[in-house]
Amino acid sequence: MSSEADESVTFSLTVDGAAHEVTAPWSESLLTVLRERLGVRGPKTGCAHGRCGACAVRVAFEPDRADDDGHVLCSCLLPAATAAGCSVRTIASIGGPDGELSDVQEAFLAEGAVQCGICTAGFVTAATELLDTDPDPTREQIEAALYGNLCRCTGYGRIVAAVETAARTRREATP
Amino acid sequence: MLLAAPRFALPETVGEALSALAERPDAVVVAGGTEVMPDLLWRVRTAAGFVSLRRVGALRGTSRDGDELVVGAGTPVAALVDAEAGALAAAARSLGTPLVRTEATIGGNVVSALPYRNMLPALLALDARLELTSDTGRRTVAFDGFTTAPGVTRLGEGELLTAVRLPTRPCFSDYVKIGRRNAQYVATVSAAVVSRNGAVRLAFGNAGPVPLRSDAVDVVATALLDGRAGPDDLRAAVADAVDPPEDTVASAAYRRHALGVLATRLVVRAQVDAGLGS
Amino acid sequence: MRRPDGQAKVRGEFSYAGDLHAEGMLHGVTLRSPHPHARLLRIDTAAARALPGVHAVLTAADVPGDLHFGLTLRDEPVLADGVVRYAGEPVAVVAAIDPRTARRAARAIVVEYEPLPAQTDPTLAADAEPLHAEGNVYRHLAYECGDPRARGVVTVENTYRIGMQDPAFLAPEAGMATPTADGGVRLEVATQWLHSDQRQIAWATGLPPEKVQVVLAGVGGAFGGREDVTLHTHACLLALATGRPVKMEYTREESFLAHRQRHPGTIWLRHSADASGRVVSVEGRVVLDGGAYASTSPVVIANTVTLLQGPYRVDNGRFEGWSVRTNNPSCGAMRGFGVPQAAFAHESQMDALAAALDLDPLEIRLRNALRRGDTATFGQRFTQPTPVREVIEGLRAVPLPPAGGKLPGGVGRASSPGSVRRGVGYAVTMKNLAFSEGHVDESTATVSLRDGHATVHCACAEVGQGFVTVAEQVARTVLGADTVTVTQPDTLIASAGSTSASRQTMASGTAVHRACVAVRDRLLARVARERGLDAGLLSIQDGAVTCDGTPLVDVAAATPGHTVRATEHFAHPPTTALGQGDVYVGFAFSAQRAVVDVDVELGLVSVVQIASCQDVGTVVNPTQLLGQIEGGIVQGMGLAVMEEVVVVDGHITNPEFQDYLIPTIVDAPEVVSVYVTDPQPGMPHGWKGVGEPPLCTAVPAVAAAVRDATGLPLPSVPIRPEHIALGIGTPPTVTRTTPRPPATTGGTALSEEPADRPGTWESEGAAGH
Repeated sequence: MSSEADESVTFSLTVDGAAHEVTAPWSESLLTVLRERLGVRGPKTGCAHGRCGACAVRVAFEPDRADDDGHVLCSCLLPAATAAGCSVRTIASIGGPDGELSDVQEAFLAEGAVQCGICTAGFVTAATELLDTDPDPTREQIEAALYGNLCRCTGYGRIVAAVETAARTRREATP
Repeated sequence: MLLAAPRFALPETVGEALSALAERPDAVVVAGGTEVMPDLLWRVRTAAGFVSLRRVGALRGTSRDGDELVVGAGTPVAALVDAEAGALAAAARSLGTPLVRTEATIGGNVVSALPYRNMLPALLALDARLELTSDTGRRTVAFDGFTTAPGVTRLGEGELLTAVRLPTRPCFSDYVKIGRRNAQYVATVSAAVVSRNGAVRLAFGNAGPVPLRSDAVDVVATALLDGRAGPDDLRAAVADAVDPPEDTVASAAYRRHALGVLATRLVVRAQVDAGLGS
Repeated sequence: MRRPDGQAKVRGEFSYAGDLHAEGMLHGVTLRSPHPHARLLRIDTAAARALPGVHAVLTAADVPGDLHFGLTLRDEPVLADGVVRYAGEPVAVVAAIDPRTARRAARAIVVEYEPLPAQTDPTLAADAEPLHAEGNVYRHLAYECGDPRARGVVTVENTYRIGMQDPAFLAPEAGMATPTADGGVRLEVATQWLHSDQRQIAWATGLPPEKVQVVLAGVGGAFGGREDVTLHTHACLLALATGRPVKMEYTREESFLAHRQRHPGTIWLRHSADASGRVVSVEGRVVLDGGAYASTSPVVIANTVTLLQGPYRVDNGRFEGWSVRTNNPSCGAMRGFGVPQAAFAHESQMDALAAALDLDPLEIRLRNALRRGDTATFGQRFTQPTPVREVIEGLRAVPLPPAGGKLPGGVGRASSPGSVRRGVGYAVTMKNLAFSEGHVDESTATVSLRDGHATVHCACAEVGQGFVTVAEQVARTVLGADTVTVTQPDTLIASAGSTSASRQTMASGTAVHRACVAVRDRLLARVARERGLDAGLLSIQDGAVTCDGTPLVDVAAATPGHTVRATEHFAHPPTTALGQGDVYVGFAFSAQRAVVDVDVELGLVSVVQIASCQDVGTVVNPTQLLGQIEGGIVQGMGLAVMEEVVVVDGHITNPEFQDYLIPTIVDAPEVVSVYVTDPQPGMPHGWKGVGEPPLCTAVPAVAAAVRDATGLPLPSVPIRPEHIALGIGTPPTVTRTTPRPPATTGGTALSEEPADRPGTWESEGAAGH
C-alpha cells in the first residue's frame, strides 16, 4: 500500500488565462482536474475514454512559444500532470466575457445545432480550431475534422450547417 | 526533469527518461495517454506509476538518416498524415479521431502491440526497423517479429522505443481498414501493401494474434501484380495464411474473407499505380 | 425563435446534472453484481465502513421503506434482495468524501455469491423456472380480427430479429440529493419524469411524497433511457443516512449497465395478399426480451403487437406477443417504444409481398394505405386525419440524389466507386402518440405575467427536445410578453407526465397554451374594467393590448406592478384497455426513402440520403422540427446498420463507446424533410407529436435500401458487414396460395386476457405510451 504522498503530484497549470497550482493523483486526467479540482465545468464528461469529444479543450504545451497556439484534444485522455506548466483553454475562452458569442457559437445557436447541448462545448471547440486553420472548409473537411465529437440528438445536419454558416460569416468579416 | 515524484516522472530528455524508469521499474511508460488512460478506466491495466515521454522533445519529429526516415517514437500520429509513404499516411489519417491523433504516438501504437492497432500493418509492409534505447546503449531490430503476442513485444526491461526507421526507397504503398461504421472505429481487419520494383509485400492487421505477413502471400500477390495469377489465387493464399480472431465484432470467417478482398484491392491499386492495371 | 437555453449551452455555461455541486457534499458509488443470476449468501460491509472518509454503506437491509419499485410491476429491488437477476444489478451503495474513497470502499465490500444458471434465452423464458415471484411473463396478449385464415394469391412469411439498442444519451446519469429541514429529501436529477421518480423514491424512503422534492437538473439527452429510476433512490437514501448532500454520477460503463435498453425482439409475420397487392390477412407473433425486471415491458409489448399491421388496412388477422423476464439487462422505454421492432418487420414483409407480386414498393403501400374511417386490427377507428397516402405521395415528390457521395467504409478507404452498388428503399410507419391503454395523459402549467414578463412553471422535463422553446414561443405569442422565464421543473406543481411518447408538445404545450389564454383573458378583463371598455373587443397583438384592432397600451404597461396568474390542466380524452375501444390517443404517419451505397463484397454501407415526409399536424418551430427529424433518422439508421448492445451469457460485452457504435458525423446521411400538415383535432393550432416516427421509419427504410443494393433478405438489424458479405439471413418463404375469402368479418376479439395483474398498475398514467 502506497502512502497518500506517493499518489499525488503538484504542478502548475494555466486555465483560461488563470494560473493554478494543482495537487492531484498522478494518473488523474486533465478533465477530472478541470471539473473536480478547479471547478471548470465547461468541458463535459461524456465517455471518459476519448470517443465522444465532449471534453475537448485546447492545450498549448509550449505556451511561451509565440507559435504555439495549442491544439484541441480530449482532456479525458491526458494525464493532467503531463501537462505541467501548460496552458489550457476551454469553451470559456471562446466568446466574450459579457455573454458575447463567437461566430461559431452564434452559428450553432442560429442553425439549431444545439439540443441537449452536452456535446456543444466540444463541437464548438473543435469547429473553432478547424475554422482557425481553414476558413473555407468543404463539407468533407468539416466531417473529417469533427468525427471525434459525437452528438446523439441532432443527427449532425444542423451542426454541419452551423459550421458552414460560421465559415461564411468569418469570410465575410475578413475582406 | 520537469516534474518528479515517487511514482511520477516528466522527463525532458531520453537520458532522464531512462533513469526515471530505472528508479521506477514498475511504472508504466505513457506517451500520449490515449491507450493507457482508457485501460486504467476499464481496469484492464493497473499502473504503479507513470513515466511520461510527452515532454521529451528529442522523441518528437521526423528526420532523414541516409536512406531511412527516422520517426521519433513520441511523434504524434497527426504529424504523419501527410507522410510520403502512402500506407503510413493512410494509417495515420484513419487512426482514432482528430482529437486523439494529436496525442496518440507512433511509439505508443507499436508498443501497445494489439493486432488491430492502425499503424502496425503499415510498418510491417514498409519493413520498418525499431530503435530501442537503454542505459547500455541502442539497438535496432526489425519490426517484423517485434510483437510476440497481443500486447507483448521484445522490448527489454528498462528499454525504451525511441524511433521507428522506415526505408525511403521509392515505392507504392497504401493501407486500408474496415469496421462497423465509417469513421472512428477499431479495425475489424486491416491491410497494407508495398509494391517496389515489381515485388509486392502485404501485411495484415487483426488477422492473427500479431501483425501478420507471409512470403507465400507475397509470392501470389506479386504474381497477381504482373498478371500471372488471378484474384482468387490471392484470396486463397491469404485465407491460408491468416488466423483471424472470432469475437462479437465479427466472425473469423468474415475476417478471412475480408482480408482476401482487401489484399486483392490493394494489389489492384498497386497495379494501377504501376501502370499495369486498368 | 432560438432556444432560450441555447446561449448558455453554446458558452458551456449551462448547468447539467453532472455539474451539480454543494458545500460538504459526499459522493455516492454503486457496487454491482458481476453475475447475471446468483444467490447472495453474505454481504459484509464492515471493512468498507471502517475506511476513513466513508460515511455510509447501504444494502437492502438499510432500505427504510418498501424495497421494491418499478414503472409497472413493482418487482425490482432498490438494492439486491437475496438474489441478483442481471449483471450490473445494484447490491450496495456507498457515500464517501470523494469518488476515489467511495470506489475504494465499494471494492472493500465482501459479497459472497452462489452463481445460479442464467436464463438468457427469451424464447424459453415463459416455460422456464420462474426467476421471480412475479413469474417470467411480463405480459402475454393475443387477439384476432375478421378471419385470420383468409388468404389471397400469395403468402409471404419470415422471422425478423431486432437487436438491443442503447439510448446512449451523451451525459451519463447524475443527480444530487440533499436532506431537507423537514426530514425529507430534495433530489436534483437528470430525468424524464419527475413525479414518477418522486413516487418511487417515496416508496423506498418511506417518506410521504410531499417530503420528496424532485427538481430537474440539466439533462444531456434521454431518448427514453431516463424514464426509469436508477441512481435517484440511492442518492436519496444516502443523503438521508448521512445528513449530507450526496452526488452520484455514473461512468459510461455504468450507464450501459444501469439504464434500460430498447427491447431486442423476434417477430414472425405472415402476410397474404390478393393479386393487386391488397393485404388479405396478417398473422404475427412477437417475443420481446424484457430482461431481469419489468420496467415498461408490459406496455411496450402492446405497442409492438398492435402496430404489426403498419399504416395499412388489415381486416383479417391474428396477433400475439410476449414480453418476458430473463437474466439479461432490463429493457424499457426507448424512443419508438416497441414500434421500431414492429416497423422493421412489417415493412420487410411489404417489400417481400411487392417482390412476390412484382409490384412497385410504393404502389403496394399506396394500395393498402389506411384512410380516415378505417378500423385498426385492435378495434380502434381512425377518426382523426390519417394521411398515409399523403405522406407517401409527398415522399415520392422528393427527387433522388445524384450518384456519388461518401463511400462505404469512410476513413478506412477500402471501397472505391467501382466496388459500390446503390440501393433505394422505402418504409412507411404508424406511431401511436401519447400514453395509451387507459393511462391518463395529462399536464398542468402555471403562467404568470407581470409588466410584460411571463413566467411559465410546468413539470415537463426539458431533455434537449426544446420544450422550453415551445413554452416561450407560446407565452410570447399569446401574451405578447417581452421576456419569458421557463422555471426549472419540479414536483411543487402537478405532474406533466413523462417526456416521452412524442407527447409533451401536445400535453404540456397545451397546458401552457391554456394557462396563457387564461392569463390573457384576465389581463384583458382587468384592462377593460379599468378603462370601461368591452372586454370582448380587446385582444393582444404584437405586444400590445388592442381594442377592435387599435393599439391601446403595451402589455408591459397595461397593469403596472400587477401580477396575473393562472394554472390550467390538460388531459387527452381517456383511452381504454385493449379490445374495448380507443387504445391510443392518436397516431402519426411517416414515410421515408433511404438511398445507400453498399460495398457488397465487404458488407460496408454508406447511407447517402434519407428523404422523409412526415405527418406533423402543424409546424410549431421549423428548426426544432427538423432537429427531431434529423436526430431521429440518424438514431434509426444507427439501429439499422451499427448499434447493438451485445449480450453474451447475460453480460454486456460492449458497455462503452469503442465498441457500442453510434453514428458519427461521417456516417450521417443528408436528410431531406418535407411535411404533411393536417392539424390534429383537439390541439391548439393542431399540434402533433413528432419525435418518434423518424426513428421508427428509418430502421426499415435503411434496411430496405441495403436489400435493394444487395439482393439479400437481411432479416435482422443491425445489419452486420458479414450478413452482406457472406449472405447470412433466411429469405422470406413465398407461397402461392389458393384464395380463401374471410368467413367472418369485423370485430376485434381478445383471445386471452392480457397477463397484467389488476392492482399492480400505478394510478398515475404509469408509463403507457
